[in-house]
Amino acid sequence: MKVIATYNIKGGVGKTAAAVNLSWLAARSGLRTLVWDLDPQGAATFYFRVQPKVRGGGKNLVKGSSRISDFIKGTDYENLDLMPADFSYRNLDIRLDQKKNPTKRLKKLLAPLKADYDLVVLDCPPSISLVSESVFFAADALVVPVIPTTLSQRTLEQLYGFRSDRKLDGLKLLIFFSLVDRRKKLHHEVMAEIAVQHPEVLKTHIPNASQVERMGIYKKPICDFAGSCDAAQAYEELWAEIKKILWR
Amino acid sequence: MEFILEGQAGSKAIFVELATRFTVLPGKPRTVTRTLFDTFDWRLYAAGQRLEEMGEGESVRAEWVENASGKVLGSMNGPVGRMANNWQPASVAGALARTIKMRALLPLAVVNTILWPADLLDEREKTVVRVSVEISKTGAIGAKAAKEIPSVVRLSAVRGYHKAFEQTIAVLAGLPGLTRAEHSTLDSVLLANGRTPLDYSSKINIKLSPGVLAEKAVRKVLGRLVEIMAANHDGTVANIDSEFLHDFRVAVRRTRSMLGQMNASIPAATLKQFRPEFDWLGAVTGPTRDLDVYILKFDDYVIPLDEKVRRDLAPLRKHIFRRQHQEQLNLARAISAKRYRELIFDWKKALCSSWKSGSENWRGGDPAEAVAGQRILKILKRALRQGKTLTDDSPASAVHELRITCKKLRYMMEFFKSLFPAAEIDELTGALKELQDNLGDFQDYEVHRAELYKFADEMVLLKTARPRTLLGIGQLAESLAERQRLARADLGRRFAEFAAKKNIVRFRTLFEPSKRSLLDEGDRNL
Repeated sequence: MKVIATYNIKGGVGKTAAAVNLSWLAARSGLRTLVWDLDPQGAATFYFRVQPKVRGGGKNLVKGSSRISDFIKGTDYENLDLMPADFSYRNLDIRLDQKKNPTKRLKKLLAPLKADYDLVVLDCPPSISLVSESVFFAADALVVPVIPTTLSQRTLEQLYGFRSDRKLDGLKLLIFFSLVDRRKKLHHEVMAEIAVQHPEVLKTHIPNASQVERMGIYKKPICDFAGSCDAAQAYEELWAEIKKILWR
Repeated sequence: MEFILEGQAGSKAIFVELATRFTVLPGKPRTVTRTLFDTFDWRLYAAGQRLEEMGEGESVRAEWVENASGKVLGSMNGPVGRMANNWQPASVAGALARTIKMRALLPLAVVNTILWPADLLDEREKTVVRVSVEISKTGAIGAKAAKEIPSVVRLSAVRGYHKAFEQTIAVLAGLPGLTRAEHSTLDSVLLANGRTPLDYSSKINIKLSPGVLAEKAVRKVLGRLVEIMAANHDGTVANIDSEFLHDFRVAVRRTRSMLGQMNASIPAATLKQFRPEFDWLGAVTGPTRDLDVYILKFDDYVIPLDEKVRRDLAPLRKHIFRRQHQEQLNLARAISAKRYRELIFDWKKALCSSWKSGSENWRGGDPAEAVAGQRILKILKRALRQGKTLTDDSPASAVHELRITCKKLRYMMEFFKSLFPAAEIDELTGALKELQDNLGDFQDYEVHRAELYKFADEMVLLKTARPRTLLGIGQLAESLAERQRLARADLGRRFAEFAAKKNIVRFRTLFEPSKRSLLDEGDRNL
């Protein structure tokens, strides 16, 4: 079972859109896939039409008195399940802080799912916190959407620095450009600059497309309701790149 | 979960009824061709699972499913991988291998289905149950799917929405013309195609009547063994998977063992005619099986070595596969030839009529229990003698002799198992198996270590081994020697456990006629 997490310190960069579309593509390719919506806002849960409710909330999960498998819901798609968000996840940091080895807690919670899933996608809330640290320990790779702006460049450096401080050298950073506006000169310049500094950045860019916003109207991954549009095609290419790295 | 659809109830009526409880979102009717797969010995069926290849238009998809829950254990786009390790990802390949092991997946039957699907949605417009009305026809592989099987309404639960699933069952259960299916579609398909699940086993599984004459019992067991050979012949020739040859060869070895151990119940002329022929069959099947075992164990053998050394050994692995391929061709040629066909034809004929002999040593007319029991105790005595004389300095050949004797003992116990109390014989067989596992490991390491030097010579001649590969072979030989030393060190304990007084008493009680009557007496008093 591989674990990836869509993550960025910044919000509004396209993390949830990436989690929802990549997991849909993974499931369609035959991988038994689980999305865990860790963001208390519950956007991924909303896109999959599931009620954002986990009885006992994050508290019981962290305590170990309830199991993830009891709350997992099937989505409308075969091979694709969802662990819904819960508003109590906003206090997940505090709950984790009360436990021994808080950063290893998430990995422990996921361990019993090994036989059931080939891929777990963690859709993370923005910021660096105990939750994100837990995610870093649990994941094989972080899938990091980056809007090509100067500020994003800075947050990317923070992320590299954090990985090195925590000695998480085995954690892959799969960085890709998101919400790219081809008409903006600045986007081209920043992408070129980051590509020089970090040649490992993935080749695929996700364009800033109005279709992505329509996911909220259809409550479906864009790859499902508009599979031939540029953004959906870009997610397909992105998934092909990620899959190759994860299973090489 | 399936409901059998009888009479005129069509998809429309069913969906209308379900619409009283859910929002029904019908999909487009689809035509799906499904090919069902299992191993030759029904490992998936026995585990309550099924594996299907589904073709729909251009797309082909393989799915491995747990029958009772409908849970998908693995799926992949593309055709069914015939061996577990053809599956992706590795976690599914590993899980499938735990069920089917080294066996190949073989197509069983084809089912053509027209299905009318619908999703049942809750108030959030979320799919909570999947329903499909399915009309199917089936046929054997390569034949037209023309046999009708019952039409069904299939329900698939969506994880986390169990209540909705139960409500759907309740709605359908109240509809006229629908009855809950007692057997799965899989059973209907197999039945329609004349296939009986679990119809193959490599076990002897025959029932001998108490008091049966030895010659008759011997013929019955030998008849079963020739049946096993016949069942595995084509798969062995086609090299579908290594288990066909395994079962074929075990049946040959058992036959040879029976001819040797029960020779007093087989006419001399029969022995004279068939023993050399079955020895020949044992000899022609040996080299391929040895290489099969090598291939099956190779990954385990190289585990203790460094990754670099494992990479250096890749040419050795390739060489063993190439050698297996050559030997397989020789084997296929031998058992496709007239000599083999005549042997089996004549042998079946010889087993058909009662055997008689004028020899004064003839035991064929005695009860099988007595003849087999005496023989078993005689072999046991030999095994005990051989085991007790083993010392730390005994050569590997002495251990091998004990192994062969134990094998003969085990075969005899299995041949005549049905004539003796099952629980007792199972317990003794279990004790013997513990010892045999150790002896088998020891011998495999001995043979495979020796083979390594032969492979190295061959590879040098063929110029397929670089010096680092030869160095790796040396390391592998040393690693096998270490394993062999460990097995040898454990042999004393295993033998002592088997030769414990309580086991010997059990053997005598079970197989010595005078003691057996005491046992029967005891049974009656219970």
